[in-house]
Amino acid sequence: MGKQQQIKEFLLDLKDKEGDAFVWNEEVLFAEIEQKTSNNSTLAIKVLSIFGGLLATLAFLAFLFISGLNDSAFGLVFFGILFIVLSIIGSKMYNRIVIDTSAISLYTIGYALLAFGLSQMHLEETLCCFLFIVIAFVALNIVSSYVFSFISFLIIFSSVIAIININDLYNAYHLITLVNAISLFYLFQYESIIMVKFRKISFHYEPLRIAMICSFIFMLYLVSTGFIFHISFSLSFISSIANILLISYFIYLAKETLNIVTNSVLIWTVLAVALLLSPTIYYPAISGSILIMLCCFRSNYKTGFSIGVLSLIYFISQFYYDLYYTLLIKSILMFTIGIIFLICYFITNKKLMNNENN
Amino acid sequence: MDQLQREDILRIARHSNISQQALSEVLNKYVYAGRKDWYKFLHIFLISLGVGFSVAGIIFFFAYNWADLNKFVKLGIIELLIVSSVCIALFTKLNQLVKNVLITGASVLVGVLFAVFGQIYQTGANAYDFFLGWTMSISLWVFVSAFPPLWLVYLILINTTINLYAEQVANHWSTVFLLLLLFCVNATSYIISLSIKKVKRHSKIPIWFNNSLALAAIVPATLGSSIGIFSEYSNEFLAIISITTIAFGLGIYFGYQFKSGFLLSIIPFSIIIICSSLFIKISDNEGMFLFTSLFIIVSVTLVIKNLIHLYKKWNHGQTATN
Repeated sequence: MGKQQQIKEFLLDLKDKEGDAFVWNEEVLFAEIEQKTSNNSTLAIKVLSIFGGLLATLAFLAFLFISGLNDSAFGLVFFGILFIVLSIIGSKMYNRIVIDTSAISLYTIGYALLAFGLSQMHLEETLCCFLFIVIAFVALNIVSSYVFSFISFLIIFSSVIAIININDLYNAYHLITLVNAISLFYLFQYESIIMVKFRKISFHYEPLRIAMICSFIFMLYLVSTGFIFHISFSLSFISSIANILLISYFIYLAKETLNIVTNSVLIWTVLAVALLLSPTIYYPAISGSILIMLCCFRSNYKTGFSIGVLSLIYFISQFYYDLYYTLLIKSILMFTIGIIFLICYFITNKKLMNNENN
Repeated sequence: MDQLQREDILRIARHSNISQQALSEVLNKYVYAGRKDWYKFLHIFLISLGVGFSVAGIIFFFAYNWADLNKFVKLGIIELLIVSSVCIALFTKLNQLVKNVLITGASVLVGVLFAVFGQIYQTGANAYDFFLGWTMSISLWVFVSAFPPLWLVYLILINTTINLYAEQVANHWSTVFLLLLLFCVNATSYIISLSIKKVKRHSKIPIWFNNSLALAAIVPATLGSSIGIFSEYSNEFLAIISITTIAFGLGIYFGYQFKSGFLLSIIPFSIIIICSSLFIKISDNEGMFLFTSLFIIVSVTLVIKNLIHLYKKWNHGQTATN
């Protein structure tokens, strides 16, 4: 059965359930399906577009510096704006995956030229970042291609980080991490609300989701390891508590699917999770990675789930590497946690077996 | 009827007045993880963390190098742990996954045993023969268990052994030769893995495993060829360029045969990087960088165009999954 036929039947089924009030724009819907199937995009294609675009940008910047064209501030700003406008118009007019690489190259080269030009004009850096955020928002409002939106979200996010860093507002990193955790949770948990009530966001839902995961992992890295900027760790517990509360709320919402029938089991489960994560209270990266894993697993989002697993492995290793304890104490800690997990495995395994048999 | 995919549902939501509740129900039914998926997830999550943390705890314990602990006790504890985990895996009726995870844990413990041996008898814990011994000792378990994560550990060990051998013994090997060797080893493993999948239709070799092998082969080939281009021409460079050319040709053929979008995107991307290196080697003036930038854009666009065309052909109008 063809895709269109399958969707038609699905829509008719839905109409039976939803009643006559349920209507759809068949022409636009099928035109989009037709266009998307001939424009079939996979992860490999998206990654290729992004890496190809960035590699081309690097080669172009090398050209710019060797040729000495970067000396004229006005020229840089002019070409920067021209490239960004061209990439937006191109993507809007030919909404095809084939031109993504060219559009991404033009778009990122445009930002780079603009940044160099404005810095030569001695424009205040914060203002420059705000300008980038505005341009990215305008681009998002016009274009809805996956990689284009993804890069735009990353530009907005990096500009926010840059503003915080330029103005030495280091404690704001904790706030950004907190907001990131809550919005990520909302994005995954209330997908249907976003799709129905926030039409504008719904067109960028998929790129927003992956951009949000990337930015959240970056923030977790910053507030947990503090490798790049001068961040005080005394406030890191805020993000940890938020992550643990969100994980608990996640378990509460999923209690029916997980077959947690009584309140006492629910409370014990939440307590066990909080207790296990409590040693990482000043290292929110671990609870954050678990939150990403859970959200992605529930939504059946494999790419995000793999990113969550890899980040969890990395952050756990980094956590124990950074601990100021002797190897012996670290060993006892890890062995104890291992045994607790094994006990949890055997308890849940027994329960799950019983449930499956019933 | 085929399962409706997330993007179809989201597309319907964008172009209809579907209620939030109905959309939520549809997503729950067609997309979100169900009870069985969660049970499977919990199984794997808890047993992996349990065994992972326990083994890490044991590694740290021996890394502490407790002076008061007699050497026979040290070696004895690890040997006891290895023997008991293998016995549990062999003689109990536990779930297959648990048995495989236990064997993987035991394989890591073999490394700890060698390291402690090296610590006691001062033979060093990063000598290549330590990794060679480790690799050889677990070979039988790796072959018998046929567990992809353990296979991955095994291949990482082989790669590490080769790297350390080049560093500690074969100092005369050039970087290009070392990368050529790594490429040959990983590419051979990849071909064997693909052949097994082709011959044994029921073999459970996951896509991520094959893709990791392909990546492990293509990265040294790309690096080796690019480094070779920028160094003085040598026989090793000629060898890596000719072997890479043949292997990439075969890889593209396999990509068409196995309908692997991954292979058909990563090999052309590697070729684009190698060609760009060649252009910059020929001339590093501004004109060449501009040309290289345009070359990358055009060639990546052509690769994507070809991929889209192929996916369309393979799926007869359905969305591809990998």
